[in-house]
Amino acid sequence: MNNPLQELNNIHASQTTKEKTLHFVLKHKHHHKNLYLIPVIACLLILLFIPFRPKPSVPVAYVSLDINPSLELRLDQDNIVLEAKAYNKDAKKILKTIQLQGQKLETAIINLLNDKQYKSYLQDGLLEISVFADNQNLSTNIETTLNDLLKKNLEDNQYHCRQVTQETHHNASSHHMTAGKYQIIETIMSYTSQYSLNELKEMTILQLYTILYTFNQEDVPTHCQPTHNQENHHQNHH
Amino acid sequence: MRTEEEIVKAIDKYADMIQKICFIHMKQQCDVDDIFQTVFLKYAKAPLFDTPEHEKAWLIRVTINACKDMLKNWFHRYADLKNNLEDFTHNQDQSYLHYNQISDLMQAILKLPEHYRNVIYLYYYEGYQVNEIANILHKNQNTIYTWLKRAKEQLKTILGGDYLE
Repeated sequence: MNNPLQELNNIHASQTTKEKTLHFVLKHKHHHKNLYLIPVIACLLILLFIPFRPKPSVPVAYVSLDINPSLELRLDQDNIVLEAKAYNKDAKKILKTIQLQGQKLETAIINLLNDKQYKSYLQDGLLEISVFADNQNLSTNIETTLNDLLKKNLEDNQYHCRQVTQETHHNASSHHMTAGKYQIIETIMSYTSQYSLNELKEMTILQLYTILYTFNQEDVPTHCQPTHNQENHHQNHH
Repeated sequence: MRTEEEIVKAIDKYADMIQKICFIHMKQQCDVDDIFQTVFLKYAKAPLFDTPEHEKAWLIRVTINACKDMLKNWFHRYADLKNNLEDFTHNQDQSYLHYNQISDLMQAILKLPEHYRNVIYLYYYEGYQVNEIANILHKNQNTIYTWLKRAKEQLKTILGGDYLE
């Protein structure tokens, strides 16, 4: 049977590519194991010569909240909000009227959910929350705390909360957006070049998930899927 | 860690396949070299495979992921994600097809979203069944069926006829 793609038979790797690859692999497979020793030795030296660790005032965890207001809460090791950063105009408007800095995370979230302006965004929108901390236990604890809190205060189909990786957190930061929104946009852009980054940045979470759903339903959490939300928004409003 | 002999053998056996996957992902030659290095460095450190089929499936998955990661790096550098097919094929070395050599079908396939191109390549060129493709790409079978169906529909729209059975 004729293979419809048989012209791919004419595609071959060049000898140059093969030789470069072999040279690279042989060079790096020997050096690679030695590189592990460097951070280990550095950590041992630090632990030996620095006995006291002052209480850090730098954030150790980040919680981003997106509906269309996009904001990020930067937390210390006791889950106190050190800083609330707005990533768009809607978030700036919210933060002008509500003080979140200095509050415990749970208190800050409840105050946000009870804010009249914020509630109006939530009514027809979807809240995407992302959690990142270098310390995996801390990240998991925060995610659990938030899920418990949100379950008591919102309907299932109104929110989605998940941890993100360090890579996602850093990439989002370099693109001046929240990690939660970045993760969805990155997934959409892996499927299509139909939308520009700036176009997607302006969209709400609900709009982004609706687009993502058309490419791969599996990438959209079940309770965030358009059909699920249409039924439930219909029930909530009638 | 694999021996030098094992790595040479794997490069000889699979280099063309990896080049083809890079082609359908429309990678520039400079990126293809990076992808080769990423894939075979991982191969050098990977555990032994149960069967040659398992080894091949592993390499396909790692190559596809490396192509996707390359796209994320592009994204990271604010690069233009809209590829121009003609520029792409003209800029490649001798191992690539040139624009005027590519059939209408191949041109149409290269316009599909990447995940559709993967399933078309794996199904029609490599001859994998849907369940095997699902295993390779770590997706469920229904997703693969859907992607194949939609890919064929899009090709029919672009080409104005059924080129794939």
